[in-house]
Amino acid sequence: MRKIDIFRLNNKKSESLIYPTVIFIILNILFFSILLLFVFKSSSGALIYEQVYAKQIALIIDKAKPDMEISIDFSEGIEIAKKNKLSEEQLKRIVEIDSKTNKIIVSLSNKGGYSFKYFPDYFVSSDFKENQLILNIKEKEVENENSE
Amino acid sequence: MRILNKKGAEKLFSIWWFFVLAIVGGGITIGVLMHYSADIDVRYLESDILHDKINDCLVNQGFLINGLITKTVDIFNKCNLEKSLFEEEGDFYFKIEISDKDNKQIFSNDEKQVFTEEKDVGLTNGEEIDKKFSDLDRVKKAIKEKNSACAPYADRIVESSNKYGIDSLLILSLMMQESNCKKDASSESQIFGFEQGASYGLMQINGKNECGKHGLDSDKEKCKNELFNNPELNIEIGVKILKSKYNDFGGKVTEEKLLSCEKCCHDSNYIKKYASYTGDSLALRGYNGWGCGKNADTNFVENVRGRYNELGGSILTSNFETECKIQEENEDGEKIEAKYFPKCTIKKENILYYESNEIKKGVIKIITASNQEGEKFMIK
Repeated sequence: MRKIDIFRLNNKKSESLIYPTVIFIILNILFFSILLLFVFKSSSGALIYEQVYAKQIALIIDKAKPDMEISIDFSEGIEIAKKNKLSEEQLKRIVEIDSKTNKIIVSLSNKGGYSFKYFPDYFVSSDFKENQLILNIKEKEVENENSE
Repeated sequence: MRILNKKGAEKLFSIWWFFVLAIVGGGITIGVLMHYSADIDVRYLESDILHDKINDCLVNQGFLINGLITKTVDIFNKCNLEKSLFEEEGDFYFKIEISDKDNKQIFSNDEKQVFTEEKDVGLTNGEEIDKKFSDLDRVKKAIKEKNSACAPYADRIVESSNKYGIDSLLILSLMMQESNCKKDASSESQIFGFEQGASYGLMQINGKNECGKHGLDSDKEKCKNELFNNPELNIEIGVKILKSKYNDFGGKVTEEKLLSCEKCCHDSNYIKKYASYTGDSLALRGYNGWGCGKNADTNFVENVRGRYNELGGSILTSNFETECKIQEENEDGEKIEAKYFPKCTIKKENILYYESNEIKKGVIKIITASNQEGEKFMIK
């Protein structure tokens, strides 16, 4: 019967001993949970993905040849952009390719983005089909002739 | 159940507990912030891709494109490179040097007398490459990269290479050209049979010429069966034949010798080309035969050499992730540092080039570098 009394905290002496321990454990769990949350948030933050996608796309274009169509899985990027509450219109522009300055601009949040350059003299157009980013690589001269 | 006494419980919330938490929390936070805010370094990858891009557009199957040495080709235009990114303040850099077989420079794209300082990272010449990567590693790597069906024969290729002193990648290139590594490959058809000189197996051994020799049965069917089903023997015979071909025409072919040979090509369009072959090229031509008729592959040597170059066989030097200091001379003739690249790629490769309608041997050295750092931007 004495054992039960301890668990019900009917015993005043026991009560005063167990509360600090419980609070100590709860505070520890809280502290490490916040740390874990911080690490998780940092690893899945827009800034990391913006940089990774921008560099990945630039390297793919660097290696590509004219008239190639390249499809890149962008589902994680889109998911992050949606979490950051980007509108449908903004979602279409999370990847922008400026063929004049050879820059790839990836922006997965309203706060900013990341840009990276590719070195080939290509005209690159991008489009989204569901979660796939489609890149169309053309020679700049061909593109100019077409536009004329 | 162990219950702490009151004194012990009070100690749990001491100042030291908060101190430990602050150190642990602070350390993890700083570490995470440093790790995730650091730039992902792709400069070496960029310089390597740039090297491959320039090499692919200037060297075709081991031959340098026409017009480069005479500077009638615009490299930026030919290789689809955005010129503005390579100018003074650009993030990218490349330098191409071509020298003849006597190591005399015959071309350099850099007009500003730029010098480089290379920090040796271990791979300095062909011998060093061989030391670092064994022959078998080279063959396996080449097979893996080209997704070839040659994988089961890697060991045998290296064995034959060591036995006969022929570059293992040249044997692999020859095998890929002859049969694409299909052990049951055959050139036999209804009108071109065993008696006409059909070839069999991995190295496309000529049945009529070779059956009854090299331990092969003299019976036609049994010999064909051996050539198909004993790939090790097939490779061994192929390499042995290739080795013997280095001595064709006494190791030096001339137009006169070709004209005096009955089964050889007498067509003036090809005689000059065949007569220019030496060393490996001469042996390869001999392996495929010196004819140039309807069924002859007159580009056999170039095709095999092209495969060899694609497999990386012609690479003499590979310095990866090396440091490059680009220097130029100022008005007083002093060398001053113009640019510094912590990561750049330097590779030297054997090439062939045309000069005055003659095929000559040379070396191309391509230095590429990237110093690009991405830009984070904020929207206000």
